[in-house]
Amino acid sequence: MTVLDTRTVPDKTAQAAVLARLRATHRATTRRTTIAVSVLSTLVVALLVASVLLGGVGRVDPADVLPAAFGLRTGLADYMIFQIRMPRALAAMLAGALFGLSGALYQRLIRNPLATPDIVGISAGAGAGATTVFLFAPALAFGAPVAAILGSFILLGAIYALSSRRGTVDTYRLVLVGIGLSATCVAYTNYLFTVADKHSIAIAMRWMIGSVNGVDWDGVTTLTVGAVVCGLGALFLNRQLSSLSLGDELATGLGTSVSRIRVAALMLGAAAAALATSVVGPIGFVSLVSGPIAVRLVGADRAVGLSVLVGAALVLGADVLAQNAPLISPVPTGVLTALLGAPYFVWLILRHRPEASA
Amino acid sequence: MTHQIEARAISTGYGKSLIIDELSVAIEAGRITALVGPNACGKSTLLKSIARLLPIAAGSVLLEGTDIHSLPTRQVARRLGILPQSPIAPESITVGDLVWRGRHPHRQFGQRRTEADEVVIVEALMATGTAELVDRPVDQLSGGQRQRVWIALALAQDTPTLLLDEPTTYLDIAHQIEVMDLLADLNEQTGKTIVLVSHDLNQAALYASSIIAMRGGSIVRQGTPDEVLTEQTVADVFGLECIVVPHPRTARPQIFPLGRRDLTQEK
Repeated sequence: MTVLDTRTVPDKTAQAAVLARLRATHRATTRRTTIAVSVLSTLVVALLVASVLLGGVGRVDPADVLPAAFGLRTGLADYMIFQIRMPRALAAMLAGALFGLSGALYQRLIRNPLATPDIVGISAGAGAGATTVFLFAPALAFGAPVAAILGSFILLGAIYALSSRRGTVDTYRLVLVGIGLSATCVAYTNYLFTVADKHSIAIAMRWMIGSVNGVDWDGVTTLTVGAVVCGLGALFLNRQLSSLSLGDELATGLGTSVSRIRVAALMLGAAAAALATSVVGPIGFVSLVSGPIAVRLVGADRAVGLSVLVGAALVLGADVLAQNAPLISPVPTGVLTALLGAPYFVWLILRHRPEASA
Repeated sequence: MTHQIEARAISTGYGKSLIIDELSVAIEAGRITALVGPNACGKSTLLKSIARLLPIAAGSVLLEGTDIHSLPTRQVARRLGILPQSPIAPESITVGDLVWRGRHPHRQFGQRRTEADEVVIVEALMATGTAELVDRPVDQLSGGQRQRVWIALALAQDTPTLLLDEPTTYLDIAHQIEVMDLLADLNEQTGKTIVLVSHDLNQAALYASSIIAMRGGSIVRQGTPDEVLTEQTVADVFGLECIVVPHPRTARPQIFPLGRRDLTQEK
């Protein structure tokens, strides 16, 4: 048999050259990630500052902004800055981060850019849970986030049970079952509106449109805890996820517990989407667009992490626009993201082709 | 002769229907073994069951003498590599980064890539002739290049045993031979045990030292190419009439199928 001997007589110089190129490639991806992270972080900070300074309705003397932010000024400035604008800006940033993370996780797991928690119905489950609390137990401390997580987990469980066949989950079925079940959740929520009292309905309605308007520090606390926990979880799962993206069989061959990791990641994504939804409502399309934007910037391998920053920048940016853009402002953030996201969604469907496989 | 892999009375299938029922087989260390048989004969199923990609309903699979299901999956992954039929390349990943994934079972949590990892990756790239492609995105490669990159990933996993499910499907004849040569080199130079599912009896006869012929979920014959590739066995396994002649260079058996038509008649 032919022997093309590359191993027994290793060519040291050729080997060194390949090693140099391998390292250069690795460095290039790392550098690209560093640049993307720095630019996006700067953008997020700039948008945070812009959101607090501009602030939409209500005038505050610029000289009062900084003292108020640190609680040194009382009266109107303190109220505007500390009670309204800061929680609002922080909520936009954190909710965006959570939406971005949840979307990118699902897109990666299901290997389909359309399969985000809001499209497959997880968010509808979260919404049904949160609405129940809004309408019947509005005074319950942290009732909405907890109910939203419960609702999303129940829906995820149902979707998972209905879409698994022969012990494996068919992702195509998962998306279809999710769309079906999400309709059930919407029907349930609509039913609740027919039996609840007017005042609660008004609150729930405003929440359902999706807006960071009127988020208080409790909401910011919920979002912060959520962002930290989900962020750490994603960090922990990251390497297993990158192995999973090679397909279930190769991932198993590489020593990944495929079903365990998948369930953990699906739950993590559901919890992230549910927490964000419970505080700011279903701000549409952020989870859909963040992942693909992150993939464009740094490649699929590092996209899940970067989508956190992309999502934060998107919601913050959309909110600054929603508050300050001439003619349209003020509009709820969710309306604006939907206006911008819907065309993208249509474009995605029109150009979508199944991911190439070897 | 030691057995690298042994399946003892395994039964497996999808859902309720069993594709393999109480099958036993032993695969010898340091050899190339080819699994052949007609479509749906269970050869891929057997490969997946011994690689723990499919759960087995009964029986046991021993890897180097230890029950594969009693070992943590990462430990198995350091001893047994499998290249499935259609792995997925993540969007816009480079060759170097893809092959790097093969190091997964050797890495501890939070550990960065080490120089030892890099050396293994470079060796895998060079052995498969893909070193030139290291910084290219995988989705821009040709089918043959891509298959060699996948094999490089499997080599980077650095396991004494490597299973491959139809590694030459979708490749043209030159690339098929290139891949088979590569596997033969690896087997010869590193003593790697290689098991592959093949559709090409002639290539199996040329490159494998042991052939397992399957039909209907059970093994019809196992042995050297000369023992297995007989006119009788091919007729039993594939229901195909053929002539077996020795290869002009290597004297390994090669088959020439005889169809229903008499092709000696000139039109």
